Order: sequence, then structure tokens, then C-alpha cells
Amino acid sequence: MRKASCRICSELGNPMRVRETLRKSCSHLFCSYCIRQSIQYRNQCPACFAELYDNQLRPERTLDEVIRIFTSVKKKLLKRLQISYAACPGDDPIAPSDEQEHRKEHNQVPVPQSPAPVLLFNSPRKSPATPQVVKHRTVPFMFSPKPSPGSSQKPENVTTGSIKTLPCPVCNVAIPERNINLHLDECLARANGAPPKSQPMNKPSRKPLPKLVLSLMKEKELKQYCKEYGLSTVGEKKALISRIQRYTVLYNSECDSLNPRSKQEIIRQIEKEEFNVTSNTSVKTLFSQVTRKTDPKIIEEVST
Amino acid sequence: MESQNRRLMRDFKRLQEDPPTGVSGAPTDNNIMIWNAVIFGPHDTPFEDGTFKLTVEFTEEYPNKPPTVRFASKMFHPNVYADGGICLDILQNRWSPTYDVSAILTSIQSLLSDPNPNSPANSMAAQLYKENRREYEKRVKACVEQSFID
Repeated sequence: MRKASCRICSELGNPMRVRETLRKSCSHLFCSYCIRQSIQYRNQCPACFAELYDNQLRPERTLDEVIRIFTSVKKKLLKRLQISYAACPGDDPIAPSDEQEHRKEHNQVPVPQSPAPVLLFNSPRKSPATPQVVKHRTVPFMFSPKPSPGSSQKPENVTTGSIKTLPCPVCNVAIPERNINLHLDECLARANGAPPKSQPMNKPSRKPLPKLVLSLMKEKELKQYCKEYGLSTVGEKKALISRIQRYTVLYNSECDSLNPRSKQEIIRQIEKEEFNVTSNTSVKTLFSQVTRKTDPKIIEEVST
Repeated sequence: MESQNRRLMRDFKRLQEDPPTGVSGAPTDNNIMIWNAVIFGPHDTPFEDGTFKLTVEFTEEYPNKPPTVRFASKMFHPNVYADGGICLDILQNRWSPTYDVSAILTSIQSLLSDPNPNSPANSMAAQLYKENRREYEKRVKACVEQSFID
């Protein structure tokens, strides 16, 4: 997943930005917010220095969806893995790395016959006590083609004893008899629902704001734009410009999101940020507690 | 701003979890915008064994603008100014927001082993580097010894 994260902030699931990953002609990935912010300073790709303009940015919807699914199942998967490791008495509590697995296989260390869930992680070859398994190599759900996120929790049904397997009529994968109905349902559902549901585009997509040459405008015009966007008109010319720029970046990066935040929320965020900068409060004090002696756990908390 | 602080914390975390050889750095006690860093002189160069201290100062515009990096230890190097400022392209016009603190520090470390005498910040050092390598190394060695003291 690291490859899918933004090269600037290296985050995946930050509500403010990373849901959105953008693709451009050199196909480097960034989150919408970061790249729009960067383009304000310089019209080039931060990764390869190729010339780059706003109109070359494209939302990467497929990856967006992958990230969404990944973040939603991540917790569940981790929990499940922990459970299955805890259920293996003879196994290392720590996740066995591939290397360890190989070593075990080569040395032919007799692995104590362990109860069901282990099968997921121990290849059948390793347990010489159960030769039958080799003949009827079962395919747990995890290895059936394209496992859907909800279907990975069946290892306990696969027992190490002799089980009858049947080839699935749809995908031809050998499935333990008792699971065949369940598998068939899923298989058929997959086959029928194969054409991916296209995103319903009923929501009128928001149009990105134009880039204005703010530095050439008079204060009066700037105030007019502020009013139009619903921003506060307080402050000098410089403050007005930075406010409009900030709003444009935030608004446009929200445009790339599937569920963009409302204008009011963006305006509120800008007001809050300005308040923080002027009064030097909350955020700074929170971060200033961190020093090199701080416990890594606290750093983790503060940075998330 | 919050996103920027988050980015700095991430830089710090990466530097701690996956430290490049010969460099280290951390925010100062009361300001995350100012960091202290140490670069160890690379092997097989006259800078070997030196421990050079630096300060890294970030602005509100990081990572879209590069930080200001300065040697706090005395330096004798063709691309380091008398006040400790560093003449390095990635800290000026070749900056990209994809660079983080560990990238900056490793770049400076490699600048120590490969000086560029054609854009000198210290003309004396550049001249000696080109014309009298022995004298250059002698001056650098003096710097290395100085770095143990301060």
C-alpha cells in the first residue's frame, strides 16, 4: 500500500486529503490537496520535475476505491490474523515470515499436528502425519480466485483430516463438500454481478474554481471575491490573497473527492486555521510537547 | 498549520525508524520548526570521523518551500559559506516537496564526499580543492578536529 500513498505526505487515509489520488501524464501519484498546493509554488511534478498544470491532473477513481476498501477491511483482517495466531498453540505468536517457513520446510522439522486454523499458514507438506491432505489438497477460501473482502473467514471449516472435495461448477476450484453451497452462492453472485457497478453520477459534480491573478487585483475586487465565496473580508490585501488562495486549493481538492465537504465546512476550516496562526494556540502547544526524549507512543498519538 | 506539523512528525518518525547511516536529527525541545542534526563525515574522505552539527529551520510553507540548513560546526568545504550556509541545488531551485529531512541530510552528507568546486561558496576551499589537494585535506582535518570540541 505504500506505493499507493501520496509522495508528499505519504498518507493513505487522511479525511482531508488522501481519499483522493490524482494521476497526471507522468502518472506519479499524489493526493489532490498536496499536488494542488505544490502547483501553486511551481508548475512541475514534484517527483520528476516535468512541467505540470492543473488541467493535467486526473482523479484516480479505481485506486480511490481500492484504498477505501483497504482501509475499511484493514482492521478486520488484522484482528482475524491475530485470532488465528492465538489459536495455534504450537506456533510462534509472532507472524512467521516467509523465510522462517522455508527454513522449516528444508529442515523437515516435524511440526506438531495443530488444530484446524493453522492450515492457512502451514503448508500441508510439512505435516508428514497427514498424508491424505496432500492427495486432496484443499483450497481454502483465501485462495479461490478474487476473494471478496467478506469471504476470508472460513479456515476453521477446513479440517486436516480427510475431507471430500468437489470441483466448483463455476470456477473449477476444489472446494470442501460442506462449503460448496456457500462457495457456489458467492461464485454465482460474482459471475452475475460481474459488470462493475458504475458510480452513480447523479450528484452534480462541483466545478473547480478558476485560478485568478490575485496579485494584480485591487483590494476592492479581492473583497468582492471573498464575498462571493463567503469568506471574511477582514484584513489587508496580503491576508485577503492568501485566504482566497487557500480556499481555492481546499475547494478544488474537495472537488476531486467523491463526497466533497460543503462550502461551509471549508470556510470554517480556514477561519480556524487563521485563528490558530494569529493566537498561536492549540495545535502548536500540542506539538511543542514533543521532544527527542518523548515516548514513541505519544509521538504516534500526536501525529495522527 | 496542522498538516505541516503532521508532515514534520512523519519525517521525524521515518528518521528514527529507518535512519540512514551517518546522519541523525531531531526537533529542538520547544519548537518543532527548528531541528538539530548531526552528520558524520563519510568514510574514505578527509571528513572521516568528523561529527558536524547542523540546524534545520522550517517555515510555515514546508514542504512546498525548502528548510534553511546551516552548519553549526565550523566547516571548510567548497560549497559551504563562512556562516555555515550550504550551497546545494536541492535546497534552492531543485527543491521538491517529495524530499524529507532524511533525504536532505543524506544529500548534504554526499556533498561532503563530492564537492562541486565550480560553484564555490568558499573560494579558498574551492581553489585548494582543485589545485592543492594536500593542503585542502590538511585544512579539512583541522575542521574535523575542531568538530570534536564544539
